[in-house]
Amino acid sequence: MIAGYHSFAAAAAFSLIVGIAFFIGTVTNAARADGKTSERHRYRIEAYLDARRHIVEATEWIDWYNHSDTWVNQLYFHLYLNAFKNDRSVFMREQGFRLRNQKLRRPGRIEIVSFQTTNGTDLLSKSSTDLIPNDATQMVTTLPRPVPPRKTLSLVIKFRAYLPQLVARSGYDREFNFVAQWYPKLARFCSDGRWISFPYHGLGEFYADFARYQVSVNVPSSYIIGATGKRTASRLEGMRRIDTYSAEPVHDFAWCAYPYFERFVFSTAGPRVYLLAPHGYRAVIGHHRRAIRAGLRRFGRLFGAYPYETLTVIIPPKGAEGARGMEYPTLFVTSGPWFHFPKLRVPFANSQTVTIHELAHQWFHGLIANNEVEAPVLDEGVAQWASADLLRALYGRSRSGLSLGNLSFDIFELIRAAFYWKKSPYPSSLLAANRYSADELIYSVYLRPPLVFETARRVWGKAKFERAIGNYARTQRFRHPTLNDLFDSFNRVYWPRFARDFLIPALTAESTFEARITELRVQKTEHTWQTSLTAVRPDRTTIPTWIVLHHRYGGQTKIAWPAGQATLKTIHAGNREVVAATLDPYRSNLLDPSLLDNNSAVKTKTRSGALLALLLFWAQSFLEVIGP
Amino acid sequence: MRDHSITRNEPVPYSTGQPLVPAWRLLWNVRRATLLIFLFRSAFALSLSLPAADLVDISSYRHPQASPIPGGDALLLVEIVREALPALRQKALIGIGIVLLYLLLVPYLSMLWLCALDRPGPIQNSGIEASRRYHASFLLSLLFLFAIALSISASFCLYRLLQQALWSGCIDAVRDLISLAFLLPGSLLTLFLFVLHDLSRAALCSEKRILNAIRLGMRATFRPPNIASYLYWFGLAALLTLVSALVMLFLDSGPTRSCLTLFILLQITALGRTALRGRWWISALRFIRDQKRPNSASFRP
Repeated sequence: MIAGYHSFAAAAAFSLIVGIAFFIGTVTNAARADGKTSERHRYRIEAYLDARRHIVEATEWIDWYNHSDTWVNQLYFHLYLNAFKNDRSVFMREQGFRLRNQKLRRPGRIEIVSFQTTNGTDLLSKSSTDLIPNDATQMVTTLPRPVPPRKTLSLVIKFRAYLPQLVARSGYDREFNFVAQWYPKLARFCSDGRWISFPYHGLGEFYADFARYQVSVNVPSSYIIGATGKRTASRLEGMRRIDTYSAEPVHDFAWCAYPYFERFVFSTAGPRVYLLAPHGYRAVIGHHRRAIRAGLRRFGRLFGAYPYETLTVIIPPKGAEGARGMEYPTLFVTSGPWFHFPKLRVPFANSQTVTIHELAHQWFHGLIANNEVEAPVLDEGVAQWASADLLRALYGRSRSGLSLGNLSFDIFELIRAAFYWKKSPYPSSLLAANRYSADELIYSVYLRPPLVFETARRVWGKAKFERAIGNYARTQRFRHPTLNDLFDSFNRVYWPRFARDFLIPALTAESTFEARITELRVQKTEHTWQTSLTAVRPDRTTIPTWIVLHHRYGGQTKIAWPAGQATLKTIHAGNREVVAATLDPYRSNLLDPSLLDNNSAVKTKTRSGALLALLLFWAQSFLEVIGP
Repeated sequence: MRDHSITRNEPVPYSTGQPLVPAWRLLWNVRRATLLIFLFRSAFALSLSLPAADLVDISSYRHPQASPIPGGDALLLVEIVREALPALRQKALIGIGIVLLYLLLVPYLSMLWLCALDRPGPIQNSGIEASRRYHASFLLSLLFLFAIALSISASFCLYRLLQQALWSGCIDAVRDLISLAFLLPGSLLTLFLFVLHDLSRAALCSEKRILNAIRLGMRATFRPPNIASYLYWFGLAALLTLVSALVMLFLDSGPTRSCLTLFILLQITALGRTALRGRWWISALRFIRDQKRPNSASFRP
């Protein structure tokens, strides 16, 4: 088998020819009348946490439903905890052996104790994890008999999950246990009979079918649990507590257990929110709560209501930072300090920013479950735009990024400044996640897409953009969309070739959308002032924009510059003198790499006296500190 | 016995029973040296700020009448810095060179100022005296620079260690506050070193040997009132800066013609701080003298 994506057409064809297999016992008829719900796979897990040794011992029952029209003779599983087995796994190699700036000191893994069908046929001996050399994060199992279409195969797996030291997502730090990617999970099975499986990547771990989960978690009674889904039962057994959680339809299940959590519960118009924070975080709870409420409201309006009954938000304790900033179905891990200053909002020190971003992931891709490896822009890129948009809704455009007294930044201008800080060209945002270096991933997937989406919103209007992205989110709910689904949605709302004309050139960086004023000349004739202005757009793809001429003593004249026109030459005659011109005065085009050539003044001061006075003073202060 | 050892070491005019000149009057008497220090520092500051002003002057890119970018005007600075980065690197190197040159001159300037304050007279005499003591002053500053760097890094290491080592289950806020509290001894040590550096330099006016100067400085620093005096003058200078920063904010939002007012205000502040620094040096010199003449009061802010 090759790494990445596996086609099983040959196997399916073989199955069809051989095709008269009778499954008795393990294969049950699942074609019930309740449609899609009954066609979902079902996971039932009973897990026991050894809190001292950080081992989860579990039994997993899977009812796997073959919703394709082909016979299936192989199953693909993800054993993603094996990424932490050694430093040779794909995940570790991709991350450069240091995860979130920490070195993995205690490894983790999944050990499968037994694997069989419910009628006792052993499958462990028919399973192999050698799909990729040195990486054991995938397992392929060859079935003794193929599963016919529309039938269910029931499996039982006993396994032990050894949690690694928490450096990235899963693991433990002292008493804190974050149990994610901890059980053998089926890879994504397509309706055409193909399996899509890939090793554990830095940016790919969830792509799987929506399923029904019922998980019982057995922990020491002092531990507080946060988990995917809704708690349906809880009972004490001696010194231990067993909580059962149910979730449907979700594509993953994660949970965490920690004895020093404080639980804050609040209701919203939609789900009931459980916020678990270590003791001492009371001061920031209101801050997170405001963000979550606003997010649920806004995202619900834009992308369709949050469909689950619960949402669990976890603030990890100090030392467990490896778990932070990560989303799971109906659960996410945020971050931030235990204090906050209400008047001060700095993005890098702001707990709300992470909360909002991870909340956006509940839609992209908790509900709209694209293949994160193949098209990370669909989850990270869109979620990044959505979270910046929510910050704007919360604080207003000019204060959405930073608010510090009189100093304020628009979040999108901040993203733009970060994106264009380095002049080096970054690769297309439409590549697969594993084709980026860590640096490129930040710029191409997290920074460029929000700028592209926001440019579309600012240039062609908020209503159109929200309709396009909303349609995409609503129609693709509980599906696995591709880039074409997103583009189709935009094409339908804007014009039929919108994606080709704007989105694709912008996301692939084929076009830079650069525009600049090259000349501004003002002449006085007998009775009028004559202004000649030249502006150019060297790129093939252009977007409509405005140019504003500023008159001396106030007042301005607006000139429209439609798309498709590479050069604008205009002569403006009037009785008022023009002193400056500004291209794109409303900052609609966030993709223009340079803003400095967007302004032209007839007479510019070469040096600002106030600035010089200030700089001189601060230099004097500095020299005073180090001087006599 | 102590008095005898002092006279044997080196004659100190003000320590021989002459009446003390009031400190502010003394500062006025040595105004030429103080002004020289101020001008010298300002010249270096100007050579640092001129190229920086050229680089970040936003007004050369945006006309004042151009409508502001909502929440993005300040980010134009980022763009300007990015565009000017190659030139900035070059100018940063020049800036580092200027600062290094200034640092080399600091031991001389401080000795000149201290000698002028210690023995008022023609500034040339102080200059000659300062050049004699340059080597000792330079070594002393180097030693303290090392000690201060060591103290700051030790505090930081202690903070990091505590963050790691504090028990699990401890409330994060408590852990952070405990770790921060452990920064206090380091901060106090750093403060002590700053005061000791100043007092040792003051002692160098009357002591040839660095070790003797440090010993005298140390004895003076161990008197809490002397540290209080340092904090007092330092606090006054900080307050002056804060007040001018507040006035500056007010002026900044005013019309462009307030530029000259702004310049004057800032320069008065800088000059005022230099005077306060000079006033602290006078106190420091007197503390050292007190160490040579026991049983005298220390805290005279």
